[in-house]
Amino acid sequence: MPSSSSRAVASSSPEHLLGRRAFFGATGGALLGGALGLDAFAAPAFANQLQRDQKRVLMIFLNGGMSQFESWDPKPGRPTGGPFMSIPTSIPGYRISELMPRMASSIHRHTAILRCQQGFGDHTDFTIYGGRPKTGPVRYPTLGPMLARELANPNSQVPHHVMFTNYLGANYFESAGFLGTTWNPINIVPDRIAPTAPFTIGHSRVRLAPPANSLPDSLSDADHREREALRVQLSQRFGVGRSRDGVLLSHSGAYGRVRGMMDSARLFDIEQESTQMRTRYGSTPFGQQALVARRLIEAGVPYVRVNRSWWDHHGQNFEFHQEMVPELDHVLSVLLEDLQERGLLRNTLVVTFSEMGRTPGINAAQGRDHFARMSVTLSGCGIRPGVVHGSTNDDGTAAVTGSVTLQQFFATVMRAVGIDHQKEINNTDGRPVPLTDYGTEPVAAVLA
Amino acid sequence: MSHCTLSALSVLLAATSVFAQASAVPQTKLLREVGVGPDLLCVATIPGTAKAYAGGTDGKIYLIDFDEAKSKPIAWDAHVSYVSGLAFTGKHLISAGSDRQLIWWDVSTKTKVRSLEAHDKKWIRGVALSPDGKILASVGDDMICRLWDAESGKPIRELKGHDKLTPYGLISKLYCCRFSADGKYLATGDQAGIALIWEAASGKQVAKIHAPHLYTSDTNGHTYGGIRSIAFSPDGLLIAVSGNLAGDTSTIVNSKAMAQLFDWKANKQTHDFPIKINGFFESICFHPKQPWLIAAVGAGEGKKVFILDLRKKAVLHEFLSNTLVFDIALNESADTLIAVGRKKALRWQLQTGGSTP
Repeated sequence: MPSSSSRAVASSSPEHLLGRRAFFGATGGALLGGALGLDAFAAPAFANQLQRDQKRVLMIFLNGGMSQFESWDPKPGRPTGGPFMSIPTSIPGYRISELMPRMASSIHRHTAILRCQQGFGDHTDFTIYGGRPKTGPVRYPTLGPMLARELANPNSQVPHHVMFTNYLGANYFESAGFLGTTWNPINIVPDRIAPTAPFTIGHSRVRLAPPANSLPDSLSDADHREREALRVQLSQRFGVGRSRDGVLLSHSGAYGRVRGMMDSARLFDIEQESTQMRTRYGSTPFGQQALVARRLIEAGVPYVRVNRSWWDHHGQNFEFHQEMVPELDHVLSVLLEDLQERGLLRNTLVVTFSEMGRTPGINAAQGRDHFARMSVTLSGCGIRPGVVHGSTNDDGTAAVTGSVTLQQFFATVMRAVGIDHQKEINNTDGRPVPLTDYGTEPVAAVLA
Repeated sequence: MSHCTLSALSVLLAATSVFAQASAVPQTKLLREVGVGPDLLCVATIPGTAKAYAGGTDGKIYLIDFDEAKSKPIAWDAHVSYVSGLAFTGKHLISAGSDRQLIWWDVSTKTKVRSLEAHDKKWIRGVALSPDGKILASVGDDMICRLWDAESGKPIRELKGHDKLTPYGLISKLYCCRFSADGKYLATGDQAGIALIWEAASGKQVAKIHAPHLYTSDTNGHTYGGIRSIAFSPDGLLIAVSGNLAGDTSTIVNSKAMAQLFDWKANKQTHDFPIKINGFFESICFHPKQPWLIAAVGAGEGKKVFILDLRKKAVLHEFLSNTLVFDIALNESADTLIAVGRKKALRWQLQTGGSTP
C-alpha cells in the first residue's frame, strides 16, 4: 500500500523556504525574467543550498540495446564470450570488459550494478515504460516524466525535462501519459542530411540545443513580452471555472515557461565552458551532449536523458562495441568525476539504462541479437557504491541470483532520489495510480 | 588475416603483365568441405601440400588436411581469445590474437617458441609475411604496423602514420597489411578507409590512399566500415582494398560488399566494385596469372566468392561458399583456393579454362 512521500525536496520545509529565499536573493532581477542562469552559482550560499536540497537524475539511455557481454557482464573464454577480455575492477572480485578501463578503476567510488530481467527483448517502448502497457484504459507515463514531476522545483523556470539524441530512428521518446504534457521533455533531435551518391541512406547532424530557442529577428523582446501579457490575460479569463482541466493547465504551463526556456539558451551552449572542459568530455556528439546535460543538471533541471545510439548490432557486434563502449567508458567516467568535483553527485543520480541486452549466442554475421536481460548502473545520489546485485551463469544465458524487474529498477531509481515509489497520482478519471505497481520493492542492497 | 602465397608468385610474375592478357574463363570445383566447431578467422597454407592452418574464435589453431576424405583437424590451444592472424614461414607458424599476443610456434611439437605482447596491450588484427619469408608484419589497434625478424622475433621497426581516432573522434582500428610480390612495399589499411604504402626496407611512407565510401557515419549514429583486406596486384602497380559500402545499418541489410583498386603511385582510383550482396568483402586476393581479383563475402548474409575481372571491370564469375568467409588463400601454383569462415573450411579447384573472345 502507498506510504508517505520521502522526497527530500518537499517544498514546504523551512529549509526549503530558506533555499528559495537564497535562490531569489542570489539571482536577483535576472530571475524575474525567467530562468535560473549559471551565474547564480557565483553566490556560494545559493549553490550550497541547491546542492543540499534538489535531487536530479541524469540518464544515459543506450538505444538499440548495448551488449552486457561487452560491458558490465563479460564472459571471456566461454563460447558466448566474444573476443574481448575482462579486467579487474576496483570492486573486489568484479570484472568488466577490457573496453572500460576508466570505469574499472573508479567504479567502487559511486556506482552499483544491477542485473535486470525485462521479460521482453525487442524494439519497443516496453523498457522505458517499465513494462507497463503503453496503451489501454490508463495512459501510463514513462520514467522521465514521473521523475521530472516529482523532482521539479515549482518555482524554477528552467526546463524540467530535456532529452538529447543522436538518432533519427526509434528513440523511444518519453511520454507523460496521464500526468499531462507539462511533463513531456524538450526533445533535441538531430538534423537529417540527405544522402549523397553512392549512399542511399542519409546522415545526421547532432544538435546540442533545441531549435528556435531565441526570438526571430522579426519579433522584438518588448513585442514578445506584450504578447505574453495578452496571452496570460486571455488565458486567465478562459481558465475561470476550469482549474482542474489538465489540458488547459498543461497548455498554460508550457506557454508560461517560454521566457524561461529562452533565457536558458546559455545552458545549452557549451561554448560557455572552457576549452579544457570541452576537451575533457571529448569531441564526439555523445560527449558534447553529456557536457550540456551536466550544465542543465547544474542549473537545476531535474531530469535529463541523453540517448546514445545505436547499439543494435546484429552484425559486426564486436567492431561496433569496440568503438562505442570505450566512448561510453570515457564519457561516463568524466561525467561522474565532473559532478563529484562540483559537489553535485551527492544529489544527482546518474543511470545507464539500455533498451535491452544482447544474446549470448553469436550469429553468423558476428553479431548478437535481442535479449531480455541486461545490466544497468546507478551512480551517485542515494546509492551504495561498490555493490553488484545479481549474477548470471557462466555463459550469461540465465540469472543465478538477484534478477531485477523493470518495475523494481524504476522503484530503486525513485527511492535513491527520495521519491516514494508507491505514491499515488490521480489518473484523468480520478483513479489513483501508483508510480510503480503496487507491491513493487526497490533493491535495498544498492540503496545507501 | 592471411594472404595468397606470394613467394612463388613473385617469380612467376616477374616477366609478365597479366593485365595485358585476355581474361580466361574461371572454373571452380569444390574439392572438400570440412566442418569445424568454432568460426575460423584466418588461414595459412602449407606449400606443397593440401594442408592449411586455420585460427579459430575458440583460441585454437587447427591443422586441416584437405586430402583426407573425412578430415579431422588437429587442434591445439594457442590464444585465450580469438586467433586473428596466421603466417607460416616453413619453420615456424606465427599466430596473432585478440589476447594481444604474437606467438611463434614449433609446428612439429605444437609448442611455443616465443610469445610477445606486440602492440602496446592492444588487439592484434593481422599479420603478413614478406615474400622471402624473412620479415613479419603485424598490425594492431595501437594503429602501428610493426616489422619483426620472422626467425628471431626481434623488432625491426615501427610504421606509424595511421590516425588513432576516426574523423568522428572514436577509436580507430588498423585492420590489415600485405607485402607486394617483390617484397619492396607494404600496404596497411585502417577503419577510416585510409591505406598507407610503405617502403619495406626503409619504413618510409610513400603513398596515402583514401578509399571513398568504405567508411562513414549513418543516420543511426554509427560510424561504420573500414578497409578489411588489402592486396597488391602481381605487378605491384595497383593496390586493392575491400570492405563494405558503408552507410547502412548494423544489420548490414541491403549493404553492398565493395572492392576498390588504385594506382597508388598516381593516387588515382582505377576500379570500383560495389557488389549487391549482403555483407563485407572480408578477404581479397589477386590471381597471379590472370587479371582477377578474388573476393570473399563474410560478416553478412551473402555466402559467395566472386572473381572480379579487372580488364572488363565486371564480375567474371561467382560461386557459393556455403558459409560466410573470413579469409582466403591461393596455393603457390594458384590452382586451388582455400577459404575459412563460419564453422567451416573449404577447398576448391580453380581452373582458368580458355580465353574469352
